[in-house]
Amino acid sequence: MSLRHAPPSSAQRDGHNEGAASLRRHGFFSRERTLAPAGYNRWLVPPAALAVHLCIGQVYAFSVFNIPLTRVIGVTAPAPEDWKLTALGWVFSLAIVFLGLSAAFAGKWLEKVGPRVTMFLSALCFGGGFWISALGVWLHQIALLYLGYGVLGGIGLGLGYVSPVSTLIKWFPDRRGLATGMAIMGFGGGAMIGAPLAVALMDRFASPTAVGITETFVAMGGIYFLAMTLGALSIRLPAPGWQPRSEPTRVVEAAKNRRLITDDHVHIDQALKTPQFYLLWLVLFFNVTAGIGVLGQASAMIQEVFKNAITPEAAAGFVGLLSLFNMGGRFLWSSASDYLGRKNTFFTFFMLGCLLYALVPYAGARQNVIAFVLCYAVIISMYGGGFASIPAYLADIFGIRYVGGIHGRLLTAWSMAGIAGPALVNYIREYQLAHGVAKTAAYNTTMYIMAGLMLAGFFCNLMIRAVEEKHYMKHDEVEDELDGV
Amino acid sequence: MHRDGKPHRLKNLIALVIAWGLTLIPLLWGVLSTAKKAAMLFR
Repeated sequence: MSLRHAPPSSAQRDGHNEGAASLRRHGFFSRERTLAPAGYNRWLVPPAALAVHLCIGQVYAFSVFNIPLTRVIGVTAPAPEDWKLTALGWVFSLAIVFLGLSAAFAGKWLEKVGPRVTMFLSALCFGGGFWISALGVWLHQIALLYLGYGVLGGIGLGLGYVSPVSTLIKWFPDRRGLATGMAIMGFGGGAMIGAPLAVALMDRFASPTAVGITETFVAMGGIYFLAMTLGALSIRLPAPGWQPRSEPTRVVEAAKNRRLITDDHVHIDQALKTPQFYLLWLVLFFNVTAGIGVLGQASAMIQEVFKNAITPEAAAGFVGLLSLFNMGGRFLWSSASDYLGRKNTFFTFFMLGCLLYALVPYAGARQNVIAFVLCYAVIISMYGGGFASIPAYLADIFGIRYVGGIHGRLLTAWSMAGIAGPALVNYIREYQLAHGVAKTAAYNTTMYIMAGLMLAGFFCNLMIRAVEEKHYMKHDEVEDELDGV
Repeated sequence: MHRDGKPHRLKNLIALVIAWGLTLIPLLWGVLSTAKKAAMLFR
C-alpha cells in the first residue's frame, strides 16, 4: 500500500511563503538559513563536520615542516641565517594556545551566530594562516609565521573544533557519543592526511634552489580553505522541536532517570558557577596530561627503554601505531559511551589507565616489547576517547543548547595539559638521569606519577552529580535566548 | 522534497554517497599511509 501525503493546504502554503520571505530577510550565513528543511537526512551532517575536523587536525602534523623550515636559505643544510628549531617550536605552541583562547572566548558568540558563519570564519582563518605563513617564508620573517599559522591559524582551530561538535550533538541527541566521536575522530585523522600531503607537496615543489615550503603553504591553505568552506556550506542545524525517530539506548534512559542526562539547559555563564564544570575540567585535564606527555616522547621513550631492540625506524612505526589507536579510540570509546554511560566510560579510562601506567615499568624491566606497545596503544586510545567523549558528557550534564560554548571553555584544560604533560615527562626524566638512574629506567617514576594522575581523575569523576535545579534555565528564558535548537 | 511532502529518496542517497565518499577517501588514504609506517615496528 502506498501512502500519499495530502497536498498542502492554503494555510500551509501561506506559512511556507512567510517562511521563505523570512529566509530572504536573513543572510546566507545566518543561523536561520542553516535550519534544515523537514525530512532532511541527519547522516548528511557528519561529513560536513568531518570536513572541518579533518582539515584542522593538520595541526598535529606541523612538525613535518620543522626540518625544511630550518633550511629555507641553506636548502641542503641550515645556513647561519636560517631559523632555529627552538624558534620554530613557538609556531605550534602559539596555535594551540590560540585554539584554547578562541574556543573559550568565542563560545557564546558561536552559539548565537550558528555553525555556518563560525565554520566559514574558521576556514578563512586557517587557510589565511597558511597564506600569511607562506608570505613569512618568502620574506623570511618568522613573525609572519607566528602571526599566520600561530595566531590566525590557532583562532581557526578553536572556532572549527567546537562548532561542528555542538551541531552534531543537536542532530544526534539519542547517540551523543557516536556524534562527537565521528567529528573528533576527524581531528585525530587530520594529521594522518596532513603529514603525507605536506611531504608530497614539498617533494613536488622542491628544487635545487628552494625547499618548496612557500608553494606548499599556499597550496595547503587553498585546499583546506576549500574543503572547510564546503563543510560550512553544507552544515545544517535541526529545526526547533526536531526529534530523531530512533529510541535512546537503555543506559541513556537509566541515566536520564538519575538526571545525569538532562533535557534542560544550563546557560553558558551559569555553567561556570557549578562544581560540575570544574570537575569535568579536571577530568579532561588529568586524562589529557597523562596521554599528551607520552605522545610527545613516544619515539625517544621506546628507543631508550629497549636500547638495542628498537631502531629509529621501528620507533617511528610505534608513533604511527599510537596515532592509529588515538584516532580509533576517539570513535570507538565515544560510541561505546552511549551504551556504557559517560561516567562509567571515564571510570574505565581512569581505572584501566592507572593499571596500565603502573604496568609499563614492569614491561620495560622484562624487556617485553609487545606488552609495552600494547599498554601504550590502549592508553592512547583512551586519551583520544577522553577528548571525544567529553562533549557528550557536557551535553548530558548541562543540556545541548550551550554545549558548544561550554565545551570551548573546557578546552582550556587541554591547553594547560599541553604544558603540564610534556613538562612532567621531560623534567622527571632529566632529574632521574641527573641522579644516576639508568636510561632504561628513567621513565619509571613518571609512569607511576601518571598512574597517580589517573587515580585523581577517578575521584573527580566519582564526585560528578547532576546539576542542581536552580542552575537550569527557565522555559521562557530558553525561548527568549535563541529560536533554534 | 517532493511536492507531496515526501523526501527524494534517490537524491538523498546520491548526496549521502558523495558526502561520505569525499570525506572518507582522504581519511582512508591517511590511515593507510600511517598503517604502512606503523608496520615498520613489526619488521
